[in-house]
Amino acid sequence: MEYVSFEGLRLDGRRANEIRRPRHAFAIDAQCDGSARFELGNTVIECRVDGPSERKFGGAEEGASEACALTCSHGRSAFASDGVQAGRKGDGRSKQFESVLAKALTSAVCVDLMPRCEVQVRTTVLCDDGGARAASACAAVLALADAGIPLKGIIGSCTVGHLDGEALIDVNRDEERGRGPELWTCALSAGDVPDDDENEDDGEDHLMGATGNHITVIVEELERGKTTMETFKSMHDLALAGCETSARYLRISLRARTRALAATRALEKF
Amino acid sequence: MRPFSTDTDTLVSMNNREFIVAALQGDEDSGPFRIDGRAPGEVRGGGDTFENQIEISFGPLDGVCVVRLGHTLACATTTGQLERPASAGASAEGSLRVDVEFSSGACTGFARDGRASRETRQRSRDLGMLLERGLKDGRAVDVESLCVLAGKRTWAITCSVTILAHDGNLAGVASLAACGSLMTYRRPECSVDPNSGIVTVHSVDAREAIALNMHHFPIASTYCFFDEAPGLAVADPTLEEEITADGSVVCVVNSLEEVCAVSTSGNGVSGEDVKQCVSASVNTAMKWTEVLKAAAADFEAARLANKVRTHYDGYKDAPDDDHLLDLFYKPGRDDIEFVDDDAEETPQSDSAEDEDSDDDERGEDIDNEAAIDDDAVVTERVSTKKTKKKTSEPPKDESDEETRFREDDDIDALFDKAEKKKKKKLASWDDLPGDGESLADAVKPRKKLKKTSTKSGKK
Repeated sequence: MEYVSFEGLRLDGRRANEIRRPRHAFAIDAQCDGSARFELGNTVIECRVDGPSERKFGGAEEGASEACALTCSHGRSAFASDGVQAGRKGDGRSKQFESVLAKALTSAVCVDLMPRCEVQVRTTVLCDDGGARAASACAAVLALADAGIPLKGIIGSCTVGHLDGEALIDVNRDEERGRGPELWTCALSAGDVPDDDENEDDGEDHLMGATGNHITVIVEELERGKTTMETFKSMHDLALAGCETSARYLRISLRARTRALAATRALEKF
Repeated sequence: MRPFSTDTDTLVSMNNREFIVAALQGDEDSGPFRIDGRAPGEVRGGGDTFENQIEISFGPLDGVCVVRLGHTLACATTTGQLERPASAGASAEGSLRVDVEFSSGACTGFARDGRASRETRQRSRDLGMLLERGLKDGRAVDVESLCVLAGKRTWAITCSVTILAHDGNLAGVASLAACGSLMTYRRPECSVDPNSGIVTVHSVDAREAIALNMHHFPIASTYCFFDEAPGLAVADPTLEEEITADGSVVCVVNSLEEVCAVSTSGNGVSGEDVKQCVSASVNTAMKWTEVLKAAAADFEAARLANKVRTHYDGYKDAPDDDHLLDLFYKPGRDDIEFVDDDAEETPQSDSAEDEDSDDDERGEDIDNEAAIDDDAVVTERVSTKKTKKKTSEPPKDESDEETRFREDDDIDALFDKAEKKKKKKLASWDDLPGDGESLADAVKPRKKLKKTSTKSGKK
């Protein structure tokens, strides 16, 4: 099967360094403290956040850690993907994802500001068209922000595959089935980021392209097979660029959301 | 921040903490150095002291490997069993599973109230999945050769690694132990009967056990990073260094410069640092693969030297599965069947004496029958079966002779023969004497035949 055509186009018409169209929605569930839906092409993830609330278990006797405990649980709807249900809730793969995502989010949350508290993050894959892990991380960041939990920075996340001798960003399901190596990366974009999104409609212009050195890798998981050193490095570079792009999208959407909230608040005042 | 261990296990004194960081920062006179005297990028295994040694030991059984790196100690054992393949997609592949367990005595805080805490179990699962990614997803072990009967029986190989003592770089030691265990493990040979699909597992005394096919050895290397010394990767950290560090990278790389798995944890590592670690880990992988192979070669030599050759006499008890050959080629077997046929067809007519005489003088019986035929004493009614027998006998012997010679190389002839035999045994209506109008016609002559034949036998 040919995954990249002679013209350099992939199965769904993208180029090797193009991610699918991201979309998002905030506050999709009024029952929890914060929630968000994040879509990456046809992949749809919902995330709900409860907390910060008083820690239920693992109290004082558990020892030194006074900081906020963040737990993740990851589930899939029965119709998320056809055929083989990869990573059902409770199996090893899903458990591992939960633990890695919890570690990643913990390093982005200001845990010291919420001592003896816990935050529960629940992600659900509604539709899996590839890149569910990356989209889950993005959805979790939006939901955490929606819940008003203080963050040190924005976590951008993306997956990179390698097929037909080329590193492909944001692989879809067909490309995942190509059984090439896959690199999932989460990067923390923290610090002073220029406010270059006055008008969110022209966000397209700066969605692409990696700039700045304020980005640090917090999760980097290579799986499904081995790669050569050069391949790994090209995948790694592409993944970091993808993380920066997705972090930028999340930042823009969060700012727009905050502006909208501020506007409503102002309307109430007057 | 510790890769693959819990956050609340061991306490490091503030003095040591500060010293580790300060030493890594270095000063004008000296570059960065470490608490145990190594250079930042230096792995354990090069020194004379106990803390700076790598030791790989195998045995006593196949597939048992103990690796010691400084004070870190891990033991790995491999077991295998025949199982039905789990998924339809991998029906022609064996399965490989890596289980990691942290012994509760390995490190303070691994166990609470005598049980491994939830976090410890999660960490051990994570480490197991990391090793699996190298060994299974990286195709280090050839799982296709573990298939015995596609869709029915494949070997399920389980490598269980137990961490016995923890002094940093758990991933590295666990990966070495797992590789060592898998490369010395031997599974018993088994064969499949193509007709019945019965799988026979041969005793290791009867047939030499088979080692797994290993394509490469994925070796994990741990690197730690400190916020105070940005860009400085500390290779193969000790436990105190791991606790003090702010971020870590674990790379699983083989000596062919292939990256099998990468996992980062902690507060973040810059992209350049990850690439630097991956490049550096190749040297470690090459070095440790050499050590591992040398140790395994020693074990293999000792194994061969100690092997006691015993004569196998298990075949005496083995089931005799050569039914076809037995049925057709044992002398006298054909004759027995013929007599039995006759006895079945004429059960009422045979008196006790007749049966006795039949049993005693079987060979003569037939000889005499033939003689009768030659003398044309037999009545016409009898002749159908008699002549049939007579005419069919000489070619049957011939073909028997032929197939006896061909038995080694021509299995088709055997089956043809079996077909013929089967046909012959099944009596058909056409073979019966009479015109087929009445049953009495068909039965009567047979009684007479029996009598004449027994009489002639007594003569």
